[in-house]
Amino acid sequence: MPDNFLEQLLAAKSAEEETKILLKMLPVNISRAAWAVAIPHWFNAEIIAILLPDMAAQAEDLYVQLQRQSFVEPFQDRGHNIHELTRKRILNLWWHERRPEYRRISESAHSFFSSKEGDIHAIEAAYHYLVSMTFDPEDTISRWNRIASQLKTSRQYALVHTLIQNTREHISGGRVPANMEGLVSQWERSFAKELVSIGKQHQKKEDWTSATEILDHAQKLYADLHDEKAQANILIKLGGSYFQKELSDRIFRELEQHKAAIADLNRTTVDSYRSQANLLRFSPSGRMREALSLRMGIIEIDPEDFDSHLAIVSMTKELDGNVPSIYMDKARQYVREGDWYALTCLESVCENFDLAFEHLKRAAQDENFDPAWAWKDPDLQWIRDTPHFLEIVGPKPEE
Amino acid sequence: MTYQHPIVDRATELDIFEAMFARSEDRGESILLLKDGSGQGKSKLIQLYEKHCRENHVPVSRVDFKGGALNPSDVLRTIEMDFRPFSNLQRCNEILYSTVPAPSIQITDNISLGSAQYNVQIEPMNEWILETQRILWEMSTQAMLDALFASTSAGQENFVILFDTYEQASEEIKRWLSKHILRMSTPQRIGSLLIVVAGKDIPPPTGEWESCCKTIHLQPLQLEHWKEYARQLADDISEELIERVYARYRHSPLDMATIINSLSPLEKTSYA
Repeated sequence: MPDNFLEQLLAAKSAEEETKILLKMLPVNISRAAWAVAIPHWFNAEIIAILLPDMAAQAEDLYVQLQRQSFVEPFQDRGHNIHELTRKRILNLWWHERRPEYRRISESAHSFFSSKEGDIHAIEAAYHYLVSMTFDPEDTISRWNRIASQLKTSRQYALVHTLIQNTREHISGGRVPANMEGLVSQWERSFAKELVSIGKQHQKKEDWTSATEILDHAQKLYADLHDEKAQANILIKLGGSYFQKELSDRIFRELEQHKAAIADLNRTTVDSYRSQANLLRFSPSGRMREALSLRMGIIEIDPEDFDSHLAIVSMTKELDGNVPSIYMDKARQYVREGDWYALTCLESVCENFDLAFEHLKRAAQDENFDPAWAWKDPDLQWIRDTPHFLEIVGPKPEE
Repeated sequence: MTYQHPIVDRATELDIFEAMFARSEDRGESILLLKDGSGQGKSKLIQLYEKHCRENHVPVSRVDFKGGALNPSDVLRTIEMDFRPFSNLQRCNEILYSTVPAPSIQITDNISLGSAQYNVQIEPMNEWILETQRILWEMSTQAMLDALFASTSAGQENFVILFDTYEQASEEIKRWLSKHILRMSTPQRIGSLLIVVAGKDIPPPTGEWESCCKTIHLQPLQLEHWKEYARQLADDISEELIERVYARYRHSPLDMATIINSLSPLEKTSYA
């Protein structure tokens, strides 16, 4: 028997076929139960009785027997589950070989989980609905919207990811109509937008903890949608919350994560780090060294970033009193041609004062020149305390 | 404490757990990152070590993030329940409950906080109740963890906390772990505390974390240990069959264990 069994197993052409042979080796009732409990994400005796009503009387015993199988593992606070590798294979078998029965059991699972209270059960019910006999694609979005509004009330935003991942599980298994992928993405995007708006409301109320949490979820949804631009925009918003919560370590971690991903330079993302570096630099609680580190990180992503090279030169001079020549040379190399204000800043920091004033004269003629900022700009502090500066820029505006 | 080597060879990994816990090499590492693919046996190893700790009366708590539904208060509740029987943690509970003030509002509903109940007068599911609950939990988390870590730093008690299926933890949980648990595990703070984080996808430690984290992968299963395990489950299986299963499935411990289980359906012992 074992040798025949192994021959059959070795002759199997797919992992699914192997699993089918292995399940066949189990006693009939345990095998049947193993097939059924692979359908939900977790199971216990009550769920076994629902999925296999004709075996309800044995449910407790089957539950114990199933726990002895290598492919069954504990599911904290909910019972047990079939290991994800085995489960994936069994679900493929269900779909391709026993679809009507699969739909029928999913229908029972849907009814059962719908009748239970709590967000987790609503999400599990939604998952089973997708392959149930009563599935109606038109109805899916309104169902999800109901769940989403429930999750917004309970603030269990993390479960939205579970809802989406569960649906993707069916999509990747080819078990739902092809247009579901588009529907999921559309819904995910609109929910992410909604989260951004809720996050912004919390920021307005200066509730930085909630804002960070909610915007984090939105960022994860956009990451899932591979929408780098939207992610970058959230990073900008998150930067404000991190800053308020003195969470610059988060900014650095985000930067580390994005370094590789944005090697091809996503301008908006780099801009978000620039604005975060400025927030740190101008923080009243003195966080210039953090700003300096962040600028160093930015030039790793964008080695030709003039603003960051200038900021490094300027901050190092302010903190340590010296001007690092390597960054100064790079700033000269990458300064934008005809950007007289940037040139003024550079020459001011490098103490080429005559040249700085020449550039400042030209900069002041630009319609976008902002005298108020010129009076505040730390890069110009080296030339500000002179009559020449006053003459070009005009008197210091009142606060 | 000493442990009995398990029937199937995971002694190499368990030795690492134990050395870190006992600080026998004392490199200041107190967080072990156990990274490997699906079906390699991470969860079984975590459960095995949990069992071993319980048998040896070492305070241990295991939290599995599978399903992605846990929030920080669930994690805290599990840890608190697991550690409650250990006497030195009485101080934790004292701090926990003395730090959290009862909300000064009228009474119609209950908020549970560990074993304590706070009576609150507000509409159920009102945004306000959730916010209050969140604030209470945040305060209690800090108080309890401070006491826990103070206790370990003073060498009064040893603890093991095991986190499994990290890749399914929500962003909120990951942030909370980083803020409240992992970040507190600096070499300076820790007496005898071992935190194991197991999962498929754990980011590599950076910055200050590098000094207190050790990363390991599961060792490939050796033929002799596989034979030993298979024999214990089904002694009528031929040597050739055992070797053929090993040759074909040695990279998938879960499949190997399932095959042997199927050959011996009445005596199930799981491995992978």
